[in-house]
Amino acid sequence: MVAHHRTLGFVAVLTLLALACQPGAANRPGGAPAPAAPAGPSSGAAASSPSGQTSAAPPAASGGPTRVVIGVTETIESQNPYADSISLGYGIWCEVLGCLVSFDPKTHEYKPSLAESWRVENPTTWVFQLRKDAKWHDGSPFTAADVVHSFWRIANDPTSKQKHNVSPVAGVEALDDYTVRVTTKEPTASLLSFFADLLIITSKAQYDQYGPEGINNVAPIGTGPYMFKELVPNQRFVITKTPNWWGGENPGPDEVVYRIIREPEVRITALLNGEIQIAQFVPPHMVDRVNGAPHTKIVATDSVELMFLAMSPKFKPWDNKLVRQAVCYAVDRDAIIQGVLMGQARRLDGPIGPATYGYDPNLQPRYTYDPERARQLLREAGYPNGVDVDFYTPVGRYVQDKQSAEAMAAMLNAVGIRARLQTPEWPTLWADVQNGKVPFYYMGRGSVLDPGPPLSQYFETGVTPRIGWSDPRFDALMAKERAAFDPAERKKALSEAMSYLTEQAPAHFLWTINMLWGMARNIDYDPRPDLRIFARDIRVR
Amino acid sequence: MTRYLVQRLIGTIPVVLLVTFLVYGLMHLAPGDPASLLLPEDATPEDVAAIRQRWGLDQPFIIQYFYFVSNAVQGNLGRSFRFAQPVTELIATRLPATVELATFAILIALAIALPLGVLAGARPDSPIDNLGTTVGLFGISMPNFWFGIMLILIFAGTFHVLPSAGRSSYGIAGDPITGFYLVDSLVTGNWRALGDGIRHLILPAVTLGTALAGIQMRITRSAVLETSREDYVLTARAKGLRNRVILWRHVLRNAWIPIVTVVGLELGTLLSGSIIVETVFGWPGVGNLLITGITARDYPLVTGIVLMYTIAFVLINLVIDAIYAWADPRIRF
Repeated sequence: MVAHHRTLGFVAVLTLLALACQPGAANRPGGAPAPAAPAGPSSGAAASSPSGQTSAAPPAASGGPTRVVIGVTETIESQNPYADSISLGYGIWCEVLGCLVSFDPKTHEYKPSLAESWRVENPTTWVFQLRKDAKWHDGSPFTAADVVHSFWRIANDPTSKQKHNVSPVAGVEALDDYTVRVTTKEPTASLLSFFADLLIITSKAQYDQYGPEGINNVAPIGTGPYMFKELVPNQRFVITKTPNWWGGENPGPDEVVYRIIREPEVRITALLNGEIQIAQFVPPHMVDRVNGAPHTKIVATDSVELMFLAMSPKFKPWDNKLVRQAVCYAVDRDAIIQGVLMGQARRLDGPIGPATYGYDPNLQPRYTYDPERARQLLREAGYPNGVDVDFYTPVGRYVQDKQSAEAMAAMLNAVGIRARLQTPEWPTLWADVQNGKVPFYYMGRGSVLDPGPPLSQYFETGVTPRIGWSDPRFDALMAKERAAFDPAERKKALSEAMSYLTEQAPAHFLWTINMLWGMARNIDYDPRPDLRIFARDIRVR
Repeated sequence: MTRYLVQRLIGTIPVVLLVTFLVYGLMHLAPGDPASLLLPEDATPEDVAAIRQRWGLDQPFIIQYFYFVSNAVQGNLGRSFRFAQPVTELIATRLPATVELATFAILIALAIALPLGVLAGARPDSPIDNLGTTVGLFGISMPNFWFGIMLILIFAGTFHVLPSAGRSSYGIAGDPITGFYLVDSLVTGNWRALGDGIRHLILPAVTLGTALAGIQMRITRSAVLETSREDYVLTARAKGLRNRVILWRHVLRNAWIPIVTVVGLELGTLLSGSIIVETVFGWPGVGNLLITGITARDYPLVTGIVLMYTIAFVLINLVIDAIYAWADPRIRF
């Protein structure tokens, strides 16, 4: 009897092992065979993997459907497109459902999307002309009623986290089936920056059919080149090509799986293992590993996330401009970029970088690394023996954030600004920053495609208490840029505001950290600096 | 026995209340505002204030807790701030993943610990005993997250024989029936999905199971060693019984009571250990959900999950006590 049980147990274990040894199908959609991996060095190579996995997505030329799996750090958790507010989510929903306007980060121009043109009738009135040929995935026509409904839903849906996208809007009305008038609370020249790849258009008919509760439980229909296929919360979001899309041919992959892998080590291993073909956010110290593998490569792109040191004038010694400028001269940004960020960052000379609208390569003043000048400024400010300050930094929120702050603290100490590094947990730090309680901190501000709203948020009087700086001249310059509808005039106004801001230095603008993407070598994809991924831009060779 | 069990169940009510009060209180005391954390950087202060009002965060703490308890007794754990879904639904969808992982981890732990522990206890100071001690120390000392990442680097990153993360490969598993992937695969006869599910389970289950195996091995060894020194074992030997018979029929039958006790206690360790392992392996279970909830200061979600853990722990220990009473006729409540 005992021997019988043992035999049964042995057979059970063998069966489980046999089942576990079956090859996976990480990137072989619909039965299409995996391509033979090229021969290469054995370390890190997937060529001879017994699981049959490679890093390459099946090439389009094989005739079979193409599927690309992208490893991301967070994604959509709900079928309600307004329930989240993350860059990646905006990109996916814009591609599936449709957005009014799009932004080209290379040319810094706003491009037509579901709105084919727009005009400014007066400083507080915009008129959008909509496409007449766009259709919902169920074949019904897209009309102005859907746009009006979408504005309403963003502002009124109880779970909406996107209300800020319509915060300048006073009213929306449909003038006819394909014309929408938007009125703003005040002149807002940067209105398109609130809408571009952000204002997601949803079907009014579907909402009316299912109601406010039921709508969150059904797959939303869209007008985009991709359709919603599957959402498994905390695991993946899947989209698939729209058949007979009204917009014409879609050269992107047939199916895209956004797979959540939060740990960077695991995400990179999945890339090297062939389980995914694109990996977001490769840490700088893993660049060589990805580039060194035969089937993977690194693609770097500029970022629109500004890293800066904030100095709140509500607290001493930051109420003194000379002390703030001393900080600007004390930090050797190039050394930190090379030594800590491994060259994967771009120094900022002013509040914004080249990927942001309104970038001025000749902006003045420029702060060089000059510790002697920093000491002199401190003496002039009345601190001949230096000054003690608390310096706050997040940990693990941004690339090498704590390490960068440690380097900066040492540089500040060298000129007499005796910085005590504080590393609170992110929720604690963020709450205190938002309440204006942190005097001196290292921080990033993301999604700066248009500088107007973020600069207003941090530096204009009364908007938020994050820094608490108030300057009537800067406020006037920002009001001027908001009312400048001519692009050349607006850029000039922005330059003026940013130049003044840099000189006054309530913040020292440090760098933008390059976004490093890992990819399979047969993937051609040029990532966007705003972290949106548009599947139709991906090519599988 | 029944009266004892009922008394124990009633006794859990104040325990559960105390735990939820502490957790709810600690979450509120911790700095950080859920509304600010969940809304994007561009959100206006008015948006933040509106969300706080909608979530009831502008009420005093004791009022918020009162609402939570009065809803909880009706089975409503509130709505998650982060996911905007009922907490009970979120837990229900993630729980099968955690139970599946925990079950396999326990099985792996027992498969490692029991044979090694028994052999080590039966042959003290032998090479097998030394091996068992080493394995036990390794399991107890080694941090979960480090071991897990090492396994990923070796088996996925270097040898490419196992997947690095997740619970299943896309496109293989069918529609969920019970939420337990392996059970669903067996029921539907989807052998490919079954194999795929097992492959994804191996690394996280080994990571979690190894930590448990360390403690279990040590306890098993001690129990076997101690029982082997009892007079009735000496009598059995004097009667001329073979060592194997003595071990299985006399020693283990009496040694397994403390082993079962430790397994029951370790289930608590399993629940907490699974949080780290689920995060490392991207395993979509309750532990992963808890981490997300804590980071986002999602009060209903965190309190709901801790409540679930508390009840589970209490019930498991109750079951262990019942098994205790069944196994040992001397124990009566």
